[in-house]
Amino acid sequence: MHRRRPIGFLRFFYALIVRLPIGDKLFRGIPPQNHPENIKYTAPEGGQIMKQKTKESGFRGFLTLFALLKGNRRLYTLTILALGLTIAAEVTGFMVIRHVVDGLLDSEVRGAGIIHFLLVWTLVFLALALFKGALSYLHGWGKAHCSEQVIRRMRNSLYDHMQRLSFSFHDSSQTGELVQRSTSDVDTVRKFYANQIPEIFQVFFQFSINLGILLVLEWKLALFSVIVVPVVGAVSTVFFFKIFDAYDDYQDVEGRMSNRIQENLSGIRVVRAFARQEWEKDQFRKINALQRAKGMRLAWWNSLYWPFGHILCGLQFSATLLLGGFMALNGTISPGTFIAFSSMVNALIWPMQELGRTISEISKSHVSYRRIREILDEEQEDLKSGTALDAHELKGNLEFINAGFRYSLEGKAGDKVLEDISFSCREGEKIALLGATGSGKTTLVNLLPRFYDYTEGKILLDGEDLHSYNRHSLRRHIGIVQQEPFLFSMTVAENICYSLDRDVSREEMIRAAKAAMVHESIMSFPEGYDTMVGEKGVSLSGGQKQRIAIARTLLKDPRLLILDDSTSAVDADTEEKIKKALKELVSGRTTFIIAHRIQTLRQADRILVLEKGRIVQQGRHEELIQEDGFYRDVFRLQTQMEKELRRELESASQQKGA
Amino acid sequence: MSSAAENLENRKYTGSLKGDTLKRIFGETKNHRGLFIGFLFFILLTAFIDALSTYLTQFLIDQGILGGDRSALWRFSLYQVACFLVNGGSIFGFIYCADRLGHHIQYEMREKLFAHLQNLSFSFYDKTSSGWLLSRMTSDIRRISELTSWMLVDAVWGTANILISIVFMFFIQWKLALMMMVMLPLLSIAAVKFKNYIIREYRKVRSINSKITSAYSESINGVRVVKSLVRERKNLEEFGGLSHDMYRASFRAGWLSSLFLPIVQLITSFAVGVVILYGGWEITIGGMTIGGLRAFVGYITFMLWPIQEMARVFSEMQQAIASAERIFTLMDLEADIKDLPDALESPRFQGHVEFRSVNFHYVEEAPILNNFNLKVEQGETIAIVGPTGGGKTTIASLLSRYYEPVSGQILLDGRDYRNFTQQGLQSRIAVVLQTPHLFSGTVGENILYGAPGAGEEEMLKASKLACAHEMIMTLPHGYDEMVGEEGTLLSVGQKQLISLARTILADPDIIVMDEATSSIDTKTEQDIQTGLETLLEGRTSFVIAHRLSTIRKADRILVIEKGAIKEEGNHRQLLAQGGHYYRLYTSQFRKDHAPQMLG
Ligand SMILES: Nc1ncnc2c1ncn2[C@@H]1O[C@H](COP(=O)(O)OP(=O)(O)OP(=O)(O)O)[C@@H](O)[C@H]1O
Ligand SMILES: Nc1ncnc2c1ncn2[C@@H]1O[C@H](COP(=O)(O)OP(=O)(O)OP(=O)(O)O)[C@@H](O)[C@H]1O
Ligand SMILES: [Mg+2]
Ligand SMILES: [Mg+2]
Repeated sequence: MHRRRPIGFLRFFYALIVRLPIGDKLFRGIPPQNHPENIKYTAPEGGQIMKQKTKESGFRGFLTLFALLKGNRRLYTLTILALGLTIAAEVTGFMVIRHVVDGLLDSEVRGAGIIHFLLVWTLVFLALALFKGALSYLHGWGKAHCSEQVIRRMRNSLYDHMQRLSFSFHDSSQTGELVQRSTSDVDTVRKFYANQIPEIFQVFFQFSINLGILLVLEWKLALFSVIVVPVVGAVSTVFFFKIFDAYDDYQDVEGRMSNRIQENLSGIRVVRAFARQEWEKDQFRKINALQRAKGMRLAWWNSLYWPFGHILCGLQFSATLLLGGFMALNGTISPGTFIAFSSMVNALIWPMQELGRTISEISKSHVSYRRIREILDEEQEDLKSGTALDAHELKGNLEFINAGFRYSLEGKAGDKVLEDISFSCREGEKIALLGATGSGKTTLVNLLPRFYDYTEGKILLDGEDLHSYNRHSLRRHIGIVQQEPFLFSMTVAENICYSLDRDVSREEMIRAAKAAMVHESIMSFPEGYDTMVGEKGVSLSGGQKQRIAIARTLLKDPRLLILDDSTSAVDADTEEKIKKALKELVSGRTTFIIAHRIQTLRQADRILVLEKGRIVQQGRHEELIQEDGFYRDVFRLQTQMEKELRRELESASQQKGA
Repeated sequence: MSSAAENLENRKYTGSLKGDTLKRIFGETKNHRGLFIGFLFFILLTAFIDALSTYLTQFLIDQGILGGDRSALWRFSLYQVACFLVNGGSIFGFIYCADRLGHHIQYEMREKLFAHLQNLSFSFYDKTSSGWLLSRMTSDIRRISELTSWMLVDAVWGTANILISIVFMFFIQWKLALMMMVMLPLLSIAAVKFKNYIIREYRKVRSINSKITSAYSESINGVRVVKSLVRERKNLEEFGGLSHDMYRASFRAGWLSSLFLPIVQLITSFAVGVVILYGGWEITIGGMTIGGLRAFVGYITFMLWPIQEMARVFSEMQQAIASAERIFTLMDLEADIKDLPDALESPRFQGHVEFRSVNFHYVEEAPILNNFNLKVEQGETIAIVGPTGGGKTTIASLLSRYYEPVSGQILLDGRDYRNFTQQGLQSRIAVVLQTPHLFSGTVGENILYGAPGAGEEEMLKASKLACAHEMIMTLPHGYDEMVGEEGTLLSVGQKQLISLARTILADPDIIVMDEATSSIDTKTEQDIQTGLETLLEGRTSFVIAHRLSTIRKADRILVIEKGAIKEEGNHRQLLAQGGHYYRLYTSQFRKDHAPQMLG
């Protein structure tokens, strides 16, 4: 009658009573430097760089779990009430049995037609059962609805939150870990609403209803039967923290393992290229073994807790029965009362044992919830505030005044990547950027759509501070073709149309594809525009990916266009054609071009030469080749080749002629 | 390519209780027989003692209380206490064994699957998303390990409990026990019916869950595009649809299972009713004791839990078996490219390469190479140029045996390269991939990835050759700078330099550079060229590039268009021919530059 009911009970009590005053203790497992609102980056072997920020520490943060029920609170309360009534009905059932037993022993009743007596009470019992059944269905329905609703909202908000976090956040976070948190941790939290809370209330109701009746029946015995409660409470508390810590460690390693797997899978081509499978396996084995070790520790605490609870509750149960037995022998209580009493003591004590299980489950939910909160507590990029622009309102007059930028990493600002950048350009001008690898070209153009915010000096767009504009509208009107094109695993057409959230006509799409010189390539695929491109576009060639990315950006018809080295994988012939097509498309719009070929840059209205984050030269092609410097060096290198080429051509034609 | 990978993601995994899958799952426990047998033993012991202690209450009531025997009351109470103590130990035993077993199985299966994944071919990864594989590695394997531990605990415990209870009921009152037996088929029918419903729902839940995981992982990977194209709202809308489907399916599964409980409760309550009615009658005629009645009620109400648990456990088991099917299909998947049984660890290659009538296609309808022939002498530098999508990268991939020719042969030093092991071959041929990929970790770790045993000096030498050293020294932490996931903290050119250094350090016999310097500035590139000249001397190499500067000096230049060699020869010869190559490269330096060039 006792044993593992799939229920857990009193934990809530413990949680409430034990935890409130010492909420912070929950975080004992976490080293002090990353305690409260401090930000910590851990970078252990896996290179895991997940912010460990715990804003609302401890129990208060945990309580916000209840706030998430918003919108379903009434139903959830009803659900819990239904549970209470179910238990009341169950207890009433015990009372019926008590009555029957006493009746069976009572010669008066026996004389008055035992069959009739039994029949009546059996029917009462069945009616109770029907009532209980209906309520318990209601309870199950309600909690399924509420918990799934909460989780649906949590999934949506996690998803949305992550796509609204800043570039810096994504620079330093790991995909595998984020995915693990959004799936496996979310599922653990789901169980909090679907199982754990109802279990707690079940314990609560069972405990209080049974205790209430027991108190009425025989208060001394009733009090005696709950002696164990504080003991179980104390033991459970200890275990709660042990399990909390153990599980926290375990999930942490699980997250790191996910990262390891994710990294391995996304870099599998490199692994194969260097035939490093064995090494990868070793690395994985290490983290896998670590996880097993953490799991074993969790198992140890689990397996200790249960027998503890069992023996404690068992002793209490036996002792109570013994005492009750003596009282029955002495005639203080009737045998029927004794039997009902034993059932109730059963229902009172054994849930305590379950409580342990629920407690360990809740501590897991707590861990998981904290891991989710860490993501949700990250500040979103502010996409909405500031001046919003219509397309025609954005002119594209830019002025950089001593602008500078540092990436902030691990919460602190890094070295200066851009320094003292000053230049200006007018609507419709074409700006070209040239510079050595790592000189800051990409960083500079990334400031315009406010992917990162400049940290020093000023940047003015159409005379206003760039920071006064709304990020969304800036991004809507600034088209940037990123240096490394990322395609989604959808069809080619879907990838191209990804830039507009309205339906795009086929003609429009094809026009963009043609301008990017990719239409013909696409048509040569067996399935044309419906070809699936594979994860990150693996089934396309390098140049095809780049051109699809260009088409995608052109389709959104930006007021300001940025091409970040976006024809590097395209042959010169095709590049030339793209340039021509672009000329018409973007005439009158400010354009930034980053490239390494002088041929690509030379017609720009202004060429900026970057070196270590500073503009070292600027001007038109004709001016720059007169000056000593990087530009002329590069130009010489490239024209030298041309000269040689010319010579070669001449000699070649001579040979031909000869 | 026609691999079984084709529709791995979309295939249906029924999870029906097929014997062989189950057998295989339990086969996984063979290294831990002790734990397995231990936990089965303890769980049976627990079930037995549980039932026994309920049985003891009968005597406690009959002999102790109703019989008025104090010593009996004491005795049976002590017996009961003994039961609890033994049970405590046995509970410890089964939890300990089951948990440990679960963790061992999880460890071993992950290890096995991970190792297997390392050997699958590129064509497999072309079609299978990493998000999908990640959830196989994590949640599916977890589920299987739970199957061999916790689900088994529940199933065995439940079954044992029901059976043992029945036996004890027969001891108490066989007629009443027989009546109770009538209840069992009813319960089983209910359980089976529900199981089927619930399973169908859970299957839906699983498949939506898979999609959700992929959605998360794609949107995180592509977040920079999402933001720059302002797609947040639309994406959320789409994801909202997905999560709504998830809600609907799991809510349905949830309420269906909660319908099961009341039904079981009703059936058992009915049984208790029968016990009261008939047992009460038997008591009056002396066929049964009050204690017996109490024990009966105890058994029956308690049976409710195992039965209810069983329904849950069965649907969970079914899910776990479906997971196992997915995992086993994945594990049974043979790599498209396999080592021959008598394959040789490859020696150092001299560097003769020959493509002999090679045909190749990724998908049947779009052939890439048609009767492709190429012979390369030791030490030659071959440049490959041509319009994008022409098949240059494909040739490099074939050479490195990431894919194998559909027909025809590729010979290395005169032997078909299928005679070598992939591991050996690929460690002798190094490719600088077109898209540089770094692993999160430090710059130094990434360079050393190419040759783990190499010392610091060699690493420095390699990175100097690749002209990466200077750039690395400008980073705040030099070689200890963290590069971030996939190298996001570096510029693209920096990544290319590092991946070039990585390849140089690997000291391959044949080197393939696929657009290895496309994002690097001209000056650095020039330096790299000079550095590489010594490196490439005597080594067969393939250089794929669009920039003239990169390929001019090659011994032979191939112009590849639509998968065929259009022109072949050295720079001079090709210019003299005045064909494709001539046009390709005069278009780079067009008329409008002419004045300056001459001036
Ligand atoms: N994994 C793949 N699966 C299916 N098709 C592919 C795959 N990889 C490449 N292709 C197709 O094969 C053709 C040749 O591609 P390949 O990558 O060899 O071109 P490439 O000459 O290297 O071009 P680029 O200069 O743009 O890099 C392209 O049409 C491409 O779409
Ligand atoms: N997300 C980032 N976080 C921290 N540092 C970064 C980040 N991105 C780039 N950097 C650093 O900033 C510097 C400038 O990088 P940037 O990408 O702007 O160079 P680039 O001029 O575009 O080079 P390339 O020609 O190679 O693309 C580099 O030293 C790089 O390591
Ligand atoms: Mg860049
Ligand atoms: Mg290519």
